[in-house]
Amino acid sequence: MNALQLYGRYVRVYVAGLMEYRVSLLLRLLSTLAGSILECVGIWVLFTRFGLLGSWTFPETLLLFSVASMAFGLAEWLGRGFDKFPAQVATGDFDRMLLRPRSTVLQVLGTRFELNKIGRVIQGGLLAWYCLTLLGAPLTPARAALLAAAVVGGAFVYGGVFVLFATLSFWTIQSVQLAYVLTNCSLDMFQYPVEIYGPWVRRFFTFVVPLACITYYPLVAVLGKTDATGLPAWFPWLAPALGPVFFLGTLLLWRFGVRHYHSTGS
Amino acid sequence: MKGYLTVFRIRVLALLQYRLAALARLAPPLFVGFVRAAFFTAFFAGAAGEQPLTLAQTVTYCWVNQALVGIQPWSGDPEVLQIIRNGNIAYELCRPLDLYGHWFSRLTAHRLVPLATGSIPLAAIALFLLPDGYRMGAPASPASALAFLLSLAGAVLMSSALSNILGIITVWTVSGEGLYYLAPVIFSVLCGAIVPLPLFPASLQGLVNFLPFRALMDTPAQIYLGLIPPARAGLLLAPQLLWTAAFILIGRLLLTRALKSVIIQGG
Repeated sequence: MNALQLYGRYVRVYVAGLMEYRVSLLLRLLSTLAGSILECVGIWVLFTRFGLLGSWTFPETLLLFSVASMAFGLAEWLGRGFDKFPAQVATGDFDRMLLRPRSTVLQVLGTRFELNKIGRVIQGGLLAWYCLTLLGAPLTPARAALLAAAVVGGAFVYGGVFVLFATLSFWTIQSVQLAYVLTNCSLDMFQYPVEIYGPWVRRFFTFVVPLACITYYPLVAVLGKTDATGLPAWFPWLAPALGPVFFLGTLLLWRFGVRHYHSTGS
Repeated sequence: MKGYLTVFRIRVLALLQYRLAALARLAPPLFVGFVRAAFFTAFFAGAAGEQPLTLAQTVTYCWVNQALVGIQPWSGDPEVLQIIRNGNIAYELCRPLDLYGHWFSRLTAHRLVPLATGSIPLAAIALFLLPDGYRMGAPASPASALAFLLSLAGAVLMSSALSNILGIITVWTVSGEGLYYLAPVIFSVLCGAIVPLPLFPASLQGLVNFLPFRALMDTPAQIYLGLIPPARAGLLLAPQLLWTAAFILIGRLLLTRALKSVIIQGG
């Protein structure tokens, strides 16, 4: 059995488990959806009050939110195994994975498959579509491709953050709250254009944890806005590619961590 | 009463064991506070005409919010959820303590410890260490500060009562679970955690001010800022306590009904 088939089997087992509690799954899906909608209401309230955010209008900002939301939803849906990984180090369950003749990355990914997060992805997609029609921005194939690349690249960045903090848990279990800063809290941050933050914050989120590369920069190109941060005009077109680069970097760290893993054992 | 105080004390001691974790817990509210200050600065820069809050007031409001995040009814008591699932609720029923009071004391401890280990250091950082433009302002007057502390006590009690309801409804696995996930999301909007309530459109002001949830966050913040003068604070604290009493009553009724139908899991 190759890795993909094995992953498929993990998913099937997990989904079968979820289907035992169908109503519960549906309710969680609905609450994810409702939470996401209420966040939009928050943005709407601010724009009815203030009108503009720099040069950004309400639908433009909503588009930022929907891209970040879809990317995060994708990462949560597929990558939560890494997010919940610290518990496996604490209990020593990771030892069992090491005994199996398969990649640890695959096995950790297979431990969770949060179907209810599809709610966030679907809602983000519908919202993006609505914003684009509202804005009347001509969606050339190149721009559509850039938008899709932004979402996929974003899922890689968020996935990378999950892997990064799972790796840190080999040394300390106190990092969980810091991971929360880069995932859920950063969603709060990237629903607004990154140009409003200070230069150091901007650089950090462009070149270290490239979250701005999957929201702000691609949308500057898609919407034909001027980049207020002064990077070259070709940068937005390459920016989403930094997502997979970041993810690969965190995978290397993960391998380093696994090699230095000491079981908590009993 | 002594029994409940002991439950409360045990919980406090247990939660204080993880001091380093408490320090790490400061990171998310600090980060969110910073982000809010930054985007409100940008919003205010382009705003036409006068707003119901000044920028400095909005930033302070956001910091009060962040300091109070730890006491909000975001979920039920995780251990209560667990004992309902694994059947240990049987032990709870054997104790010569009223179950509602027992759980309520635990939840109050769960709010007061984050208040001491999270809110106070966070407020100290926001008040004294942050650069201009991001800094939290001082309370409007000593009387406002005092009224703020009173409304804070009210907020802790209301939050414990709501959180207890969230825990209890999970006995009804299906319909309970839906509310369990949905209610905190709704609380967060209605208490001003997403957008300060004074900045809501005028058409929604009546509604959000009538509902009880503003007492969790918005009322303390507005008293702190002096938007609600200390003399008027009493008028707001009375309904806050009445609502809390109502939530306690609802929680008790739900628990009584839940215990009639509870099935002990496991064997």
